[in-house]
Amino acid sequence: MRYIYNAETCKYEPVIVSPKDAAQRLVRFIGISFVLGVAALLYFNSRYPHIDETFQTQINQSLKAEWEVLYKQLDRTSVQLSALEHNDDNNYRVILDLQPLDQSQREAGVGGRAKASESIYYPLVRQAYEQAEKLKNRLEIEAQSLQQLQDELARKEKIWASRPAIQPVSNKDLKQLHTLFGLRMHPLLGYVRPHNGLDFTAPQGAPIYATGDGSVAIAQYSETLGNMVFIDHGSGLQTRYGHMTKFIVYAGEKVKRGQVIGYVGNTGTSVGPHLHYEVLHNGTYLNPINFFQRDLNNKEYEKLIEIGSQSAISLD
Amino acid sequence: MALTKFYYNPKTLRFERARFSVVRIAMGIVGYLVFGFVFFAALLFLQNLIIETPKEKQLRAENRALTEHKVILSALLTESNNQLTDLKKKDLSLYQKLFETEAAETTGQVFPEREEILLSNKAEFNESVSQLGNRFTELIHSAQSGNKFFSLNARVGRSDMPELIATPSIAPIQNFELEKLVSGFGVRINPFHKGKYQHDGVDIAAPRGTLVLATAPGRVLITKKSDLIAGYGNYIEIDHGNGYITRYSHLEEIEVRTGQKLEKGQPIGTIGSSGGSIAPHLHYEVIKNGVSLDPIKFFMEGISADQYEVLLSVSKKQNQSLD
Repeated sequence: MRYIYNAETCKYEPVIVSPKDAAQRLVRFIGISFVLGVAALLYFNSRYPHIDETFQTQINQSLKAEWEVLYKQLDRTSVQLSALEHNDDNNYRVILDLQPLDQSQREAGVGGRAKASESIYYPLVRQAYEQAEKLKNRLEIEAQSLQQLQDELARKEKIWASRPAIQPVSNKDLKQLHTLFGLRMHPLLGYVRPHNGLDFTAPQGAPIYATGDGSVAIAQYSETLGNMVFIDHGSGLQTRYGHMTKFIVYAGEKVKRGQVIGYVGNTGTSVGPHLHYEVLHNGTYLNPINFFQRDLNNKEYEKLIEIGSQSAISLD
Repeated sequence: MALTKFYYNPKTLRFERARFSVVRIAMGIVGYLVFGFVFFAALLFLQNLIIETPKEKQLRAENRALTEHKVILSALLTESNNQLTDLKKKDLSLYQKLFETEAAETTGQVFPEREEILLSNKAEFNESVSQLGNRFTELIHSAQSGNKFFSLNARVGRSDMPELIATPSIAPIQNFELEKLVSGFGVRINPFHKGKYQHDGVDIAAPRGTLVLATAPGRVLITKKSDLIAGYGNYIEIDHGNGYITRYSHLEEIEVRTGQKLEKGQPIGTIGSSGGSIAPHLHYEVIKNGVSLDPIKFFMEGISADQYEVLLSVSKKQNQSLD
């Protein structure tokens, strides 16, 4: 409690603050505080950026870091795809005898359709879309390309599988291989005539194997070749097997390499049990010695025969 | 109101003059400051709420775009990566069918990438370090044995010159690259019947028309043209002297004649697929005194040790030949 000295009454009287004074004081206090606050704000604004701006800048920075990672991932995918494309062009296409795709083919379709990315203002985003779209296009083209390669390989594998490539008689049964091809004195007829195939001497009844995949063109008896089988392998190749005791395939039947088609015999103009084997390419006789590997060992051969017989069973 | 104020002091029972008090003034100032600060905070809050600076607006829009599009792009990327994985599988199956071998070359890096190392845990990190350590020891050993081998064997005298000149020493095609070597010397799988057989040369796949080069100076021993769809097809044999003969088969064109003298690196023909061949390639053989040798040992010029190591490992793979 405070007092003032009243000279008139000569008394100390307590100071009574009127409501008006109190209000005035309060206004003054608030006013000064407010001015202080405004001054501080002005100072703050002059020194520091807008608060939300700072927040947004921070968010922006962390987002940009994430986008950098995104770009890296895009790059990585692109690099891996490039490796595939490179393999495709320089490995598979060379081996499958196809033209490599050139760069314009690989990037085809990028400019063609309207892009969603064009309307985007931010280069960071737009470029990512552009990259992603390019990547997608390249992936599609590579997928098509690989499909083409797969189809081509399947087509070629069929051709390779139908190429005569093994001995028609197993080494196990083979007594003698007469490698004479061309002109020779015919043992029965007694005059020189071309010998258009090879003779495999083997015991009567030894199995004869188809030397490549194909379909049986002829399976019948003839005066000269006895029981004989002609197999068409496609691409102009035909193999012929003669002097069999009997054949166990019919004309039109599909055969696999290594499938038993008949048994060694002595039918037709023959002096002893043997297989007469011919290989023709577009009607010309070729020396069958070129169509099997003589260094193929017995174990490997048996394995091939086994594969052939298995396929035959599964086809039935 | 400059009236003097008094206090009543109960101890002295007197009115005493109110003295100038530091504490009071300090309290007053603190009051102003506190309220000033409250105003400041409130004003700042209001300003933040009401005013949006152009830069903030721009950032906000950008951040929104970045957030939204990141989701979409991540999805696109995932899709692309899935597609890539599919393609890799297709590629692998194609590779296995073409070369009849299980393990395809690893296209990825053996050692982890920098990011992966940085993000790896302790065990993984130790693993990488020990891997590097082992590799280091291996390298030291091989370097030591290599040095020893060379000090024992590498003595070249004048008398060795004819032998050195006659030795085939370059890759037999123009623009040879490691990946063009598809099948090496030794037991390989025959592409036609898929059985194993002795493959006496190396197969280098290249587009038709690629130039085939003489690998050492010499004289053309044989040129043969053959339409037969089996065997060597069109081929050339070159006698280099000192017992060395090289054979180049499955050619498309033969551009030399028998007896012709050749320089090292001279073009002799072009790559083709004649004879028993499933793809355009060169089947290259090196024969010394009638014995077929591994031609890889004669690819020495213009190739680094690293490349040679890759070449050697590729040639050792028991895959399918192109015949």
